[in-house]
Amino acid sequence: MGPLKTFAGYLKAAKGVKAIEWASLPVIGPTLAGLAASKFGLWPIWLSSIGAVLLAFGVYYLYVRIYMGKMATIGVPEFHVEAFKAIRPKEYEMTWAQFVNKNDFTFEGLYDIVNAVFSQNNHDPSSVAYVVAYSQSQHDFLQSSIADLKNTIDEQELAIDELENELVRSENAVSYLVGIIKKVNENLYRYVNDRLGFGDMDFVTGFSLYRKEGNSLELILDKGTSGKHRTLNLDTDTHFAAVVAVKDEQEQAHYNNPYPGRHLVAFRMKMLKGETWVWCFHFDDDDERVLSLILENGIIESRQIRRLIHAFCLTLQKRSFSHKEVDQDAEAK
Amino acid sequence: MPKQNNAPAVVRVIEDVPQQSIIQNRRRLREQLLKQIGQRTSVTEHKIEQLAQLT
Repeated sequence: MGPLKTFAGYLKAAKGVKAIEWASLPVIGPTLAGLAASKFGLWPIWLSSIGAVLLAFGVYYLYVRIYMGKMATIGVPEFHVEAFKAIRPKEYEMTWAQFVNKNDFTFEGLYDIVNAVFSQNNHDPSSVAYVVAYSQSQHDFLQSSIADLKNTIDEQELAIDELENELVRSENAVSYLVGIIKKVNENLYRYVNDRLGFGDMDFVTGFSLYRKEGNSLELILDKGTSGKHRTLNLDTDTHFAAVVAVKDEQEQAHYNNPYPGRHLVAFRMKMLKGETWVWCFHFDDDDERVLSLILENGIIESRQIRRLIHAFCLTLQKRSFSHKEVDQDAEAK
Repeated sequence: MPKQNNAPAVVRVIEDVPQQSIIQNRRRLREQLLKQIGQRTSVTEHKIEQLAQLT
């Protein structure tokens, strides 16, 4: 109906015809009739009628085509979404479809957006530059939000990984402690059966055991080490953890790296009959179990492991004294 | 094979940490981590709501 209304508008607008004076009709009428008769006077009436009708339809068809073109052009008053969809389906999919194909789409909402854009543009709502700028700012904001969300997701994944690692560390710690308990049980049974010796004391890791004698540390036993031990002088071998440890009245643990990748933890033990011993743990830096038990204090209090060793050493020392007494009694008899 | 007796190495004291402190420290770190996750989740939800309104 658009083209017909437009035609009606044209007719209303043709007010210039009214300017023609009725008095001049006797002059204009014969003139026009004369001109028409000189051109088409030879044609039959039926042919003239059909020609007039075809001409009218042709003109109207051309006008409709032009009008439909306008209906599919954004920015002109004749624009219509459905015409745009029918004539330019690809462009429609790229622009309008994302707005229209929504359950909650309303033209009022779309109007609000457009109105908000145009209201920023003082009295120039047709400015495409503002629409583009608004779209660009929206696009930038969305891109920024997406980047932020991706960053947040990455951070969340890291935090979740850390929590998972925490669980694994806790499970491992429990496993390490259960392993220690099993070895302690085993050693207690061996003690009852008179089979326990210092050689059974490697349930944490390899070790060396020293006794303080005068101004030196004499090796009692070592297991799980390179075996290259010697008597340590308390005055000159001060870079040895065992020497530093034996001088520590507080019986703290002392640590050093004899060589890259190797750890040594030494601590002093007060023994029976006024003796002083030094226990040294020897282990590599890829041994997470021993690191956790002795060095890190991350999950398990390492002092308790040292106390366990101390208790076993006292037990073995006490037994050795009683065995010596028995031997001496036997010799006396 | 490097030898233990060759180069002097720095001897350091291992600070003893009571088991209770170890547990408290781990609990504090865990709660801190969970709090961070909660805060990030809240911010994410807010942003998603904003995006939903815009689109």
